[in-house]
Amino acid sequence: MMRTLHRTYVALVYVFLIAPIAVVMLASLTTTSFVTFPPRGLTLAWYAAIFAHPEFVNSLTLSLVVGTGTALVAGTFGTLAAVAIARERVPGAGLWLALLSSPLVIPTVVLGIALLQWFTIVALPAGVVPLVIGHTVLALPYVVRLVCAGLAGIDPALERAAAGLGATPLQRLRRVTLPLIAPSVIAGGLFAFITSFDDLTVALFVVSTNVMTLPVRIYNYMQFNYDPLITSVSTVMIVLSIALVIIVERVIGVGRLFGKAAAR
Amino acid sequence: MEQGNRDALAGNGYLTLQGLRKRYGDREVVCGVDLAIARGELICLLGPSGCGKTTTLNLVAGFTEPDAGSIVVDGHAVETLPPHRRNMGMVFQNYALFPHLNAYENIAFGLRLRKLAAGEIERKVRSALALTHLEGFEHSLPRELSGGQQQRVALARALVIEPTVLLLDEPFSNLDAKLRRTMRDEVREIQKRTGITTIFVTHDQEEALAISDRVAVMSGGAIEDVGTPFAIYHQPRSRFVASFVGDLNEIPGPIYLRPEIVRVRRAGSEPAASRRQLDGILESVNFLGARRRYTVRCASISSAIVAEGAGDDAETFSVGDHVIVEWDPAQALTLGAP
Amino acid sequence: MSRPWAFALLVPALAVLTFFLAIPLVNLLVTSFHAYSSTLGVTTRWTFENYTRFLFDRFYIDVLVRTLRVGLETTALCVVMGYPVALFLQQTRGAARNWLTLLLLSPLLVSMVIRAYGWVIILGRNGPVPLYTEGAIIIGLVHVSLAYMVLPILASLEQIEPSVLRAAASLGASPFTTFRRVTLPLTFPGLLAGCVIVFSLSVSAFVTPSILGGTRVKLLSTYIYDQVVSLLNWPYGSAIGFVLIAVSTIALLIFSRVLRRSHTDVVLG
Repeated sequence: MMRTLHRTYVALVYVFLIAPIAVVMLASLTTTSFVTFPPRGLTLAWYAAIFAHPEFVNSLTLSLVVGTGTALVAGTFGTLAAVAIARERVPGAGLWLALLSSPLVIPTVVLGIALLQWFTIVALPAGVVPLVIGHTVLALPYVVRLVCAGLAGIDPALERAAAGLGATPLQRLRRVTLPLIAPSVIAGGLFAFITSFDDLTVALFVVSTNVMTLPVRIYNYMQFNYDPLITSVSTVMIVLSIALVIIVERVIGVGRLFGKAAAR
Repeated sequence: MEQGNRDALAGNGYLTLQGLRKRYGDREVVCGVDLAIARGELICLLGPSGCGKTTTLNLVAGFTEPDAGSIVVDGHAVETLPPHRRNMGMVFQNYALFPHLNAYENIAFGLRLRKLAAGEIERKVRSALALTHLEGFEHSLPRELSGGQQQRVALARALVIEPTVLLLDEPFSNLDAKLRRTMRDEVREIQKRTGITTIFVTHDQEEALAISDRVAVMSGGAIEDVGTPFAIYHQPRSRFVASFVGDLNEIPGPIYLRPEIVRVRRAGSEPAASRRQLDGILESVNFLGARRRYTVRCASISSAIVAEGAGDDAETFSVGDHVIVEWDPAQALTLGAP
Repeated sequence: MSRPWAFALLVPALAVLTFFLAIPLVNLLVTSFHAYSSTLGVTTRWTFENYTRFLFDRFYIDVLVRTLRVGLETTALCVVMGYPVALFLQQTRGAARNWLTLLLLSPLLVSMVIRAYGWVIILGRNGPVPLYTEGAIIIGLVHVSLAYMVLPILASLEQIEPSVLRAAASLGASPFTTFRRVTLPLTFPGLLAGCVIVFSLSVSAFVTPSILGGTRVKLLSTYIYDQVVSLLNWPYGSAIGFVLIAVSTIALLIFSRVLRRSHTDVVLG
C-alpha cells in the first residue's frame, strides 16, 4: 500500500515537471488567436507565422551563433584550465577551481547589470561579442567541472604506460589525454551551448533594438502580445535543444551526459 | 537433490527449517533445506560460493521470503513475519554498523526501539561492552575503529537485544588470518556463555570445524551432510563433502586418503605391517613451519599425492628423488553414513 | 609539462573572469557607494546611503522579507516533493531508472522563460493559485529547482550500504523507523546540499519572479532590475545587488549551522 502511494506521489511530481512544457507545446497547435489550453482545433499555422516575423528568425539565428560561440570559447578555455588543474596539478588547484566556479555564486541579474555598465565603459556595443563574453562567464564553471571530472576518471597508469613507450608530454596530451576526455569536453560544450541558448538574464542587459537573443525577444513579446506565436517559437526552441542533446548523446553516450552533468 | 539426513531432523529442534525453497528468476538457489537446530547449539552452514548458504540465512532472518517451506522457532512459525518482528540478532559480513552513531549508540539502537528505561539501557550496553572487551571505545565512531573492533560492536549490538537466535554471515572474512582465529574463539566463548542458538555461515572449513557443535555442508542449494566436526571430517557422506572439509587424495578403488595419514619414505624401505605403499617421484616440498607438505607423482595415478611430515623431520628429501608413499588402510576414509 | 606552461593554460579562463566578472563587479561596487540624484544621475559624491536606505525604506524591507520567505518556502516544497522522488529513483534499477532520471533533468534543457510561460498558461488569472502572486512565483521556482534537490539526496542515498538497513530491521526497526533513525540522518549531507543550492537559486532568480510576479509582486532581483533599467538609479540598484549576494551567503551559513545542529539531535534521540 505504501508502495502504491509512493508511486502515485512520484508520478504526480513528474506530471508537475512536464506540465508547463507540454502545455506550451500543445497550446501552439490552437486555431484561436489567443493562447488557450487545451488548444481548440489543431493547426500548424502558428509555426508558419514565425516566418512572417523575421525578427524571430533573426533572433533564433543570433541565439544559435552566440550559443555556438560560447560553446567554443568556454569549451576551449574551460578545458585548458581543467587540464591545468586536474592533470598538471598546478599548485593552488583548490583555489583556482573555486575562482573558476565563482560565477555560480553571483546572482545573474547582478552579473547582468555589472556587464551592462562595464560594456558601456569599454564602449562595446551590443552584439555577438559581448553576448558570448557574458555567456562564457556563466558557462565556464560547468565546463571546468565536467572536464575535471573526466580527467579524474582517467587511470594514471595509462599516461605512465605511454611515457614508458616513449611518448613526449605533448604526444601524451594529444594521443592519450585528449581522446579520453573528449566525451567530457563535448558534454561541457553542450552545457555551455544550452546555458547560452536558454539564458535570459544576462542577455537582457546586452540588448539593443535589433540585437536580441531569442529568449529576450520571447520575454518582451509576452509582455504585450497574447497570441500563440510565443508557444510555437518556444516549441521550436525546445525541439532544437532536445535534438541537439540526442545528437550529442549518440556521439558520447547518455551515461556520460548525466553522470557528469549531475555532479554539479 | 538428495539431502544429508544424518541428524538433520532428529530430535526436537529449537529452530527447525523444513522444506525451504527459494528461486531467483529461473534458478533455484535453495532447493529443499531441512535442518533441526537444538537450543544453544552453534551450527555452521559450510559450502562454496553459490551453494545457497547465505540465502538460507537470509530466509531465516526474514530478508527474503521462501517460496515454500517453514521456519519454526520455539514452536512458533516465523516464515511469514517481517525481519523486524523476528527478534533475531544478525552480524553481517561488513559489520553494517550505523556510520552516524558511535559504538554505544550502535549497541543501544535495538534497546531504544524496545523503549526500555534509560537506566536499563545503560546497564545492558555496559554489560555488552564488557562481554566483547570494548570498554573505553563506547564513544568512538565506526570509522575510528579497527576491523576487529567493529566486528565486536556488531556482535554486541546483536546480542544485547537478547535475541532468540544469533545469525552470523561470514563475519570474519574481512579480517586478517590471525585476527580471524582470535575473533572466532572469542565469538565461540561468548556464544557458550550466553547459550544462544547460533547459525554461522562460512566458506572456510577450518573455521567451521574449529568452533561448531555441528556442521551442515551445503552444495547446490541443499544440505549434503550434517554432523559434528569430527564426524564430518572422518566420516564424510560423499566425495564432495570429503574434499570440501579437508584436503583429499583419491586413488583408484576408490580409496580416499587425507594427507596427514600419508607418509613419505625413502625408496626401497620395507613396508611396516599392514601398510600399503606406492612408488613415486617427489615433485615438490613445501616447508610450512610446523609441518612439511610433499607432492609425489605416482605412476598410473592422475593427480599427485599430497603427503605430510613433521617440520623437523630429520630425513630430508629433494625434488626428483624416488620415494615411497605409505599409509595405513585402516585410516582411509569411508564415505557414507556409518 | 613544465610549470610556466601549466599556468599558461589557466590564463584564458582566468582572464575572462577577471576582465568580465571581477572588474565589472568591483566597478559596480564602487558605483553603489556613489550618490544618485534624479536630476544629475550618478554623482561623484561618496556615501553609504544606498546601503542604509533599507533601514527606513518600507518597500525595500518588504521586498527583502518576501524574497527570503519565497526562498524558504520554495526550499521546503522542494524537500517535500523531491525526497520521495530521490527515494524512488534509488529503489529503481536498470533502464527505468535511466529514463526517469532523464525525465527529471529534461526540463533543465528548456529556457526558464518558456517554463515560466507554461505556468502563465496553466495558472491563469483565476483558479487556486492565480498569476502575479507569491504562490505563482513559488510554483515556478519549485519547478526550476526540483532537480537540484533530488540529485544530491539521491547521491547520499546511494552511499548507504544496504546491509546497514537490514541490520536496523534485524534489531527490530520497522521500515518507517529505519527511515527515520537511519536513512534520514545518513542523507543529511545530501539534503543540506540540496537546500543550499535551491535556496540560493530561488533567492537570486530573476526570470521566474519577473514573469510570474508581474508588476505587483517584487523580489530583490526584479527590484534591482526596476531600479537600474527603469529608474536609472544605478547606485541604489547595485547596492541592492550586493545586499542580495550578502543575503544569499549569510542564509547559506545559517542553513548549514541549523541543519548540523538538528542532525546531532537525531543522533542522541
